[in-house]
Parts: sequence; structure tokens; C-alpha cells
Amino acid sequence: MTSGKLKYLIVSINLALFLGSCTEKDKPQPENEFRINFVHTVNNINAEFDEMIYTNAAGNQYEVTEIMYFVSDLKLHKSDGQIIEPATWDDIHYIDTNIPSTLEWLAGKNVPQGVYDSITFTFGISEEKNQSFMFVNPPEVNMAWPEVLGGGYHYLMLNGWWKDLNQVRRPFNFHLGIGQIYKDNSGQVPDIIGFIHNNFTVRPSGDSFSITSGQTNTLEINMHIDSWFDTPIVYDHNTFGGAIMQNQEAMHVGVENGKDAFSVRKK
Amino acid sequence: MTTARFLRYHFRIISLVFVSACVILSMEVTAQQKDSTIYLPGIEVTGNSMIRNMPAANISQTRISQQTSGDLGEILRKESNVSGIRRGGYAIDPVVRGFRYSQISVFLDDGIHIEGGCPNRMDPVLSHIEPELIRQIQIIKGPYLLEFGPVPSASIRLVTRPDETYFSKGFTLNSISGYDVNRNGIKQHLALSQSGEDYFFKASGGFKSYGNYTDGNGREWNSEYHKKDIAVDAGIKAGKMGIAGFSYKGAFGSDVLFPALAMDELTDNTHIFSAYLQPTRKIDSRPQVSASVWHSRVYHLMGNKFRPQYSQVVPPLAGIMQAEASASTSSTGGRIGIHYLKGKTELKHGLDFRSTGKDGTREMKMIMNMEGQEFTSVKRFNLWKDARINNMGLFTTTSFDLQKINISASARVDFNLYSSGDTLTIATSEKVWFDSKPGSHLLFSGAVNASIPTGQNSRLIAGIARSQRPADMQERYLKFLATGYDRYDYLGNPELKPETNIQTDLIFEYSPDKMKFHANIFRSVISNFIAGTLLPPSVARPVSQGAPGVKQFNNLEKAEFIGFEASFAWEPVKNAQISIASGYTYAWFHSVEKIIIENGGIAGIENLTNDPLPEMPAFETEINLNYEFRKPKIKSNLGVRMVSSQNQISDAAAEEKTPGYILADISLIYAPVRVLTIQAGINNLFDKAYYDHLNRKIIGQSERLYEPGRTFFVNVFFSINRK
Repeated sequence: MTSGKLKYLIVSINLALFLGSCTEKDKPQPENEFRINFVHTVNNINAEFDEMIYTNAAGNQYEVTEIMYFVSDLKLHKSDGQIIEPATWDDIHYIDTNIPSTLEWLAGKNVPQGVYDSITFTFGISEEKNQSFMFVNPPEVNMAWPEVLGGGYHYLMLNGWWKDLNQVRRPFNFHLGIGQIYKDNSGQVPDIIGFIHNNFTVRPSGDSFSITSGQTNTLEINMHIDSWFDTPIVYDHNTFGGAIMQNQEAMHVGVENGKDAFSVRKK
Repeated sequence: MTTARFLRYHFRIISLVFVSACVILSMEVTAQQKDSTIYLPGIEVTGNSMIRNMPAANISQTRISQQTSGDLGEILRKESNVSGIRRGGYAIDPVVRGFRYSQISVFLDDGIHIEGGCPNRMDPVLSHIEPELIRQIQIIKGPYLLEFGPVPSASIRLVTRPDETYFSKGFTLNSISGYDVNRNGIKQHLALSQSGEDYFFKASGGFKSYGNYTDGNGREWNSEYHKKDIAVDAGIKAGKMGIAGFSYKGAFGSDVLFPALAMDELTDNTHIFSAYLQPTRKIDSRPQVSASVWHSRVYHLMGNKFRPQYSQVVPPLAGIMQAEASASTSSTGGRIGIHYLKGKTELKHGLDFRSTGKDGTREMKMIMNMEGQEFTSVKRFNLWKDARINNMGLFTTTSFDLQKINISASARVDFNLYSSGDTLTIATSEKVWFDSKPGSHLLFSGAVNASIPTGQNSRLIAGIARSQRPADMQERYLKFLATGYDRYDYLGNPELKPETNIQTDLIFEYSPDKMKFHANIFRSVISNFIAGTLLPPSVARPVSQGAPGVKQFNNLEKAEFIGFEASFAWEPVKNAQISIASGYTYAWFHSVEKIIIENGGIAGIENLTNDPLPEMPAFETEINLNYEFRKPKIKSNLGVRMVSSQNQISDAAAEEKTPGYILADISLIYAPVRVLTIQAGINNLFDKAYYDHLNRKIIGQSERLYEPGRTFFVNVFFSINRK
């Protein structure tokens, strides 16, 4: 091969390798969506915050300032026993009445169409998943539950005020999380000898609903705030005081009352 | 009033005097017609015949020493189509033709590898070597230089090793001092050497202490850094074998601030040992043997102790958050090669070995006050656990003439083994996402370059290369750290396949009398491109504060890079040179995922096709005007850097456009006596407030980190030699 031919061969190979490209952008079609809206009511009326206008079953006058909580492991149940877990993307959702964007949850996409009998979810986070430092960013990080008290995160922060027996306005932090067992019920951190995971499964009351393909399907989950202090056990702030993080008995009442504190309806 | 404050206060006066001096001196340009040294930075390439056939650039020791900055990354950024990622005031991470991180092989001499400790790349390889120790930097813009280890998509070779010119010099003292007004930064480096006919010994050391810089808007950025270094070189003439030598380099950084990262560097200690046998005689048919062994180790400690959330509750946080991470790395290797002529064909063969290990831990502490009590929660976990990557390679290169065409060809094969002692397993019912089991890859790389004369003063160079890059320590084994530009936490992937790069270059050079023209176009196609893809929060949640989610390194189908470099240099009159150099790269993914954000949270992903790669440098042009006066002996330089806006941005990465900017730097070098040279200048003459497209955002904000504003600098070089 002569130098000239070799020269053209090399250059031709190089030029050939430069060819071919395009830069047009294609976007796929959006998917089917399943959303949940969270609302909060007292006596079936939308809650008004920072107003001392409510009275619970124990006769405590109270007001609510804010509510923060986690729901997780959402399941949709069909009458034939089939269970769908729509939240394949994120199985833990944080709700904060101070942050409106958290009141809407894109819980899943492409949920099979059909009629669903009910839903269930874990209130809080399951023992397996509730690990310290799992959340590092606000707002979820602010739900951290101290390591010495069991670690992980609060399931619920329901904060407000009540009037005590002397009509003095006092703060309450109705907080649920991992409970502690204290030696001789001392309530002192060094005496902790065990923990109780207080997360629980909720099956909200409500009618069956249908999921339709090709559209956004929205459910509304209603937290009946008054129910935390009633049914099946009457909760009295004057009995348990303002802080219950280290009071497993009070938290247990909260757990029992919370199981029927939710209802659901199709929007 | 401190010196810095004084100089800042009188800056306008100083600038006026300085610029006036330059203008007055420039008026003599046409009158000066004496001999001078031609200096053509845009196209300066040296080295052996093989490197001369590659798309390459060279930065000499003189040019390095005359830079204001003590940061090699900043020095490299002045090269055509070479950029850098700025995260703070120091350790700019180089980007060559859009390639970055492990896509660029950065090494010392004949393959000395340094494994940085920081997963956030506070300490890229270049930050472990002080500029004063470097004799030359070779940048090879493609996978062509295969004789010094596996090459992904570009090489940066730092030549530090003494050669035969170090002998018979007697006693030498070299001192470099510098002061930077903007940063109130001072540097001092001292080198002492003694050599005879058969031996040399050199010891050097120095420090740099730079404060925060101020941008063109007058805003001060937390960007201080402090470094110390020490180095020892010794060698003897080993008869016909050449030079037998030993070298140690130590670099020690402390309190290096990175406003674009969640933590700052608290300590970074580097030790590099090497012993070598280096031939010095001219190549002939008798094989020359070169051999070396080396060991490098790095200890890196970072934390957030300089951040407000370390000591106080910063809303919206409800507690104090303290974080610290440390990493220890080591790399050990060796190389043996033979080099000879067979007829007129130049041949090199050899083998090399490298074993790199990395260990790292992280501690997070949250201090909360709840219901009147203070609670502290602490968590410690591994970043890496006994992670190790071993690489053994065989290489061969040849260079010969086929009639008038000079052809050079290289090939190498690497056996790459990796393992980790980590016990983390992330698995769901559908798949195993992370399981650090060991594995291996066999990698094949090859390159051919042909130089074709097209006239008396011109030539055409064609190059084609294929290279394979195995995943690095970070991509394979990292656990939950925000290492990318996007603030997501990243998770390694032990199952990664190697990236394969097929690159072609076409270079045209033309050098008529007193002119040089150089143009290079290239195309690079990378398959199995390693990049992060989002993991569902149900699989992994972020651990780093500020990280919106977790991405795992995965192989994307393909990415393509296409671009050019062009330069022109001219000596219009004696002692005067003008050079212009431009470069640009456009790169895109064939297919990439885009994260859908809804209500401030991650709602899912969608796939985009042909989306530009993020963090690609904008088109830029550098113009340099040099004039050398003979009486008084002064060299002057006016540099103008023009960078266009970057509008080719990644939709998938939600990148934002970056406006262009124009900068001017001016400097004078004056040598009143043989032993003393003084350099003074002004960088960013017009105090432009700007940021580069590759500058990271400030942590927790959408604002980009600005570059330094105007600064006045002085360097003093002092040299004594007594035989």
C-alpha cells in the first residue's frame, strides 16, 4: 500500500467514526396515579388550630396547635382477599399540618383497576423499618425519638394546650413512639430494661371504593382528632400530664384509641 | 492596619500604578527587536514521538511556578478544553473534555497512584501534590497513553522525578514566596539540593496559608485552606543502568473549607514513597530496563464543626447535628519495562501492578432537647470496609515509520480484581440491590496514532483508541454519601461492568514562519457509562443531611462526547507573541432517567433520550499577549479568558443555565539580578463577579459558589547555585 492510499484510508476511517448522532428529546407518557389526601377533623368538622374551642370525653378543654405523624405499609384489600401494595416507590409517608404539601401523597402508580373493600396502613413505622438516622432532613428528622428511649422516630406528635383542673392553660405533647419498660416503674432512663413498639395497624372505616385505569384516583383519609382521647378508653390530660414519651401506659391508651381514629372515602 | 487590609484599601491606586507601568512598557513593543524565546502556550507539546502524535498539552515547571494559585486544579483550568469543579477555595477537580473523576487517570511519573480519601472529592489526586514539586504536567486528551496503567478517557501525568540534569550542580537553593491580597494568602517553598558527578540529594518543604476569598460583588466566601509539604529526593548513577533513586513526598492539609459540601476537610495527610531505576542513555538496540516500586497512603478526616448546625439548633432542624467521617487509603504498586530499537522500530514492553485499599467510617450525632431533657443519639457506620481493588497489566507500544507516515500503536491488557469486607446487603423481593461480593474483569485497551505529513510545515494526525475502565472504589463500594453534583446520597454497586470508550481524534497542525496553527476534533462513545440512578426510598433512604434521596451507580447504555480544540500562535514582532486557544465539548446520554419532584418530594422517574450530560464546560477562548523587554529585563503578559454561557444543560439533572463571562489578567516578571526574579500581577482585573458552570451550589441553597474577585499578587523567586 502506498503512502497516499494509506493516508486516505486512515483519514476515511476516522471520518466515518465521527458520523451519526441525534439530539431530539422524547418523553414517555405519564402513568396512572393513586393519591391520598389527609384531612383532620374534630367532631367531623375540619379542625381549627390554635383555638381553645374543643372539649374531650374526659371534659378537658383543649386546642390543637399542630399534628405530625407517619403512615406506612399501605395496603388495598379486595373482597376476594387480594392485597395490593401501591406504594412501591416510598412506603413511608410523613404528614405535617404545618406543611400543606405533605397532606397529599402520591401513593402509587398503575394500581390495578377494580373495586376495593378497604385499606390498611401502619400508623407510625414498623419495628423492622424504624431505624435511627433513617431520616436526616427536615421535616422528618425532627421526628427523631431519642436513642436511649428506643430510637427511631415518633409515630405521632399531636401538640396543643388544655386547661387543667385549676383552669390553667398548659401544653400537652401527645407523642407516640417506642415505649420503655422501667425497673420498678421508676421512669428514670438508667432503669430502662426493655422497649415496646407501639406502632399499630389501622383499618379506617368507610365504604368500598373503585380504582379506574387511566385517571387519577384520590382517597381522603380523615383523622378524627377527638378520637385519640375517646373510644375505647377515655384519655384525661389531667391524669397523664403534658408529656408522655416516657409513659407507656399513656401511650398504650393512645394506641388503642388511634385504631378507630381514621375513616376513608373516595373523592 | 494589616498588610492585606492596607493593600485592599489602596487597591485602586496600586492597580492604576501597575496598569500604567504595563501600558508604558507596552509602548516600547515596536522598538524592541532583539532575540527572545518563543513561548506559545496554546500548542506547547513536548515528550517522545508517541506523545507528539497524541492530542496532548504540556505545562512546564516555569508556567506552574508563575501561577498565583497553589492549586494544581486551578492551574490546569487554563488549558484549552480543561475545566474544573469548584467546591471551595482549594482542590479544584479537573475535567478534561467533559471527562472527570476516574475517567481521568491522574498519576505521578511512571504510574504512581494516589487514592484520595474523601468520598466528596475534597482531595482529588492533584491536591496531594504541591505544584512546586512538579517538573512538568502532561495532559493526554484521550485513552492513548497506555504504558503507565489503565487509561479511561484521559491522562494527567505529573512528572516529579529528577533526571540526569540533577547531577553535577553543586549546592542549590531555590525559594518561592508568594502573597495573594484577595485571600490574604501567603506561600513559601524552599528547596535545598546538593549534587555531584554520581549523586544528588534534594530536600524541600513549604507551607500555604490562604484565607477566605472575596468575589467581584465584595462577598466573602468561606474558602480558607492551609497546607504544608515536605519532600526528599536522592539518587545515584548506577552505571549503565541509569539512575537509581528514592523519593518521599508528604502533604498535609488542614481546615480546608468547602461551602458547597456538607462538611469541611479537617485533616488530610498524604505520604508517597517510591524507589526507581531510570535509564538515561540514548535508546538503541540494547534493551533499557526501567523499574519502580511505590507506596502511597492518605488519611482524610472531615466534619461539620465549622458549620452552625454543629453547635446550635438551626431551624428547621429541631436539634444539633454533628457529623464526622474519616477514611484511610493505601496504594502499592510497581512497574517494570524494557525499551529498545529493533531496526528503526521503537518498542516498549512491560508490566505493572497496583493494589489499592480503602477503609472509612462515619459518625453522626444528634443532640435534642425534648420535654426539658437533653438526649444524644449517635450512629457509626462504615463508608468502606476493607475495600480493595487490585490491577495487573501488560503493555506494549511501538513506533515506526511507514514511508512518510509515522505510526505509533499501543495495547494493554489488565486483570482487575475487587473485593470488600462489607457485610451490608440490600435486597427486596424483586432483586438484590447491594451485596459486596468479590469479582474480576479482564480489560483490553488499544490505541493507534498516525502522523501524516501534508506539506512542508503541516501534518495531519489521526488517532483511534479503545479503552476500558473498571468501576473505582467509590462507584463499586461507597455507602451513602452525597458525592455528586446533585446532592443525592450515592450507593456503590459491586456488579458494575467496565465503561468502554471508543475515541477518534483528527488533528491538523500547520506551522509557517513565526506562526503555529493547531486544530483537533474528536468523538468519543462510551458504553456502559457509569452514573447514578435513583433508588426508591423503600429500598434506601439518604443518610447525608440535605440529600433528597439515594442514587446507586449503574451502567447506562451510552454517552457520546464530541468536540474540538483549536489554537493559533503568532510572533508578529520579535519578543512578542499572541496566542489564541479555544475548546468545546458537547456530550449527551442516549437514554437517562429524570426524577420527578412533586410537593418537594420524589414522586417517581421518567426516561429521557438524548439529554445533555450535566456539568459540561461551556465554550471558552483564551487569548494571551506576551512581550519580553530586554532593558530592563521584564516579561509582560496580558491574558483574556472568554467563556460563553452554557445553555446545553441536562434536563434529567434539572441543571440551570450559566451566564458567560470575560476575565482579564495581567502580570509582569522582572529579574533585577540573576538570582532574583519578581513577578507581580492582577487577576480578574475588572473585578468581575462570576461563577463557572462547573462551580457547585452552596450547600442548602440554590446559589452557586462564586469565583474570586480581583486580586493583586506577588511571587518572589530566589535561586543560588554554587558548584
